[in-house]
Amino acid sequence: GRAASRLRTMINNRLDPSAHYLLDDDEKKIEYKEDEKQTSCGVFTVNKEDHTFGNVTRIHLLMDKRVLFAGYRIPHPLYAIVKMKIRTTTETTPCKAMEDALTNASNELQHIADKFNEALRKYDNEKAAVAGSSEYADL
Amino acid sequence: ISRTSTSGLGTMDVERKRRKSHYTKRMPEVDVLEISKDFMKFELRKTDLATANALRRVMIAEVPTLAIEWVTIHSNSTVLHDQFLSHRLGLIPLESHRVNEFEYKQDCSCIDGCERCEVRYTLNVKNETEDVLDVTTKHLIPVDDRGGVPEPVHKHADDAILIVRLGKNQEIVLDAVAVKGIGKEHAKWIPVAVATFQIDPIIELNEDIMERLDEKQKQEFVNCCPRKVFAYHEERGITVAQPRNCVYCRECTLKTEDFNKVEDVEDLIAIEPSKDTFIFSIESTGCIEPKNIVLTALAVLKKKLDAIRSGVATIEQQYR
Repeated sequence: GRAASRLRTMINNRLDPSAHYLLDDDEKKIEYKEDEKQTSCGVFTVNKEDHTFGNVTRIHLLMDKRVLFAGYRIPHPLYAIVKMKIRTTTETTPCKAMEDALTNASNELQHIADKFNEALRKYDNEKAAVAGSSEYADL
Repeated sequence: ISRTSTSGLGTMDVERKRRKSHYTKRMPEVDVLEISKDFMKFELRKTDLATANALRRVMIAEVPTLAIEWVTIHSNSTVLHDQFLSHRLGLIPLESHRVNEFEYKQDCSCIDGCERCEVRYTLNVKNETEDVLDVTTKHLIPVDDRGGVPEPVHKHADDAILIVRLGKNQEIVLDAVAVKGIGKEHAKWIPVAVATFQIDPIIELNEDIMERLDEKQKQEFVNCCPRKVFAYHEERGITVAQPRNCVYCRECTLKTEDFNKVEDVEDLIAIEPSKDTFIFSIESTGCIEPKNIVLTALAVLKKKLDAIRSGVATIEQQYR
């Protein structure tokens, strides 16, 4: 459990690799804190994530015209925490913008998967066509 | 308002289009360039560097495979000590194309291991000959003899992986247990030997300036490229023959400085990395087919984003 892994961390002076992708018992995957001073601004704290998630989400946030500011940082490389700061116009809220960005990113990935399958089929068909035509070349 | 539109957009579509004007959907394209048993090359267009890099990172670190995790050694009189041998066993690629039927060890409902979360192997070799005997992945046998159980990828004589060599009368007897895992936990679970992508170079050769060079200068220019990106033809002059060989060494740009008598020669060549075209090269270790590595990576990345999105939706409820 957690006590055993904490003891091992103290002895070996290194974190268990599962700390990079498995949530601790008391951790939540994602938390949100509104900014005290600026309007329509807030910071999402996502646990057990890295640049794979951070950069993709940031790009999709920046593609949204209603987003005024979007940036992510990883406070310390040893701990898998991504903080995403978002500020939007009053048309929407950071939460809604985050939700939309994640939806768009997810849809784009689905689109890439579909296109990839299509490309594989096309490649197979072309190869079959070439093989077929070379058969008849000798006739 | 009802309109009969000639453009093909009904009133509903116009409304929907207006609502989504804050975001322009991107339509990525894919073309497969090369594919074989262990290697594939494909082109991904109209997406950005972050998505391409995320795909690469997931292919390396988050696509699950099977690998040996626990080894119980009953007898070891080889020249390699126990941990050395166990380390080598962990790195052996195991057939993982059906790994999604398995459960992760921490998620499995069994107490002491079952067929849903582990695969057991045994290795039992004694050298009774006078010569050196090679213990290879051929000798690593699944305990479960039903068939259809994952085996080491390279198990046939010509491409079996060498585990240890036995001298006369040396023996090795051990049991090994393989589980499902990802590259983030340990490198033995990485399904690829290499997963890289190249950013497509955009090479623009100014034909007018090229005409101003004499034949010798044109030959010199073509020859200065260490990657043979350019070619020289008598009638056509310099052509960009193999743009994708470019490695941005800038030798050609530096070469234009030698032609200082020619007007505007520094604009002869312009090379820039594309912002949206990437050429992926995936080499698998053999545990999963390259095309399935890519598809699984896309699915894993999508699932990750969907899981976080549902978390955001819950937070959004509170702030409504």
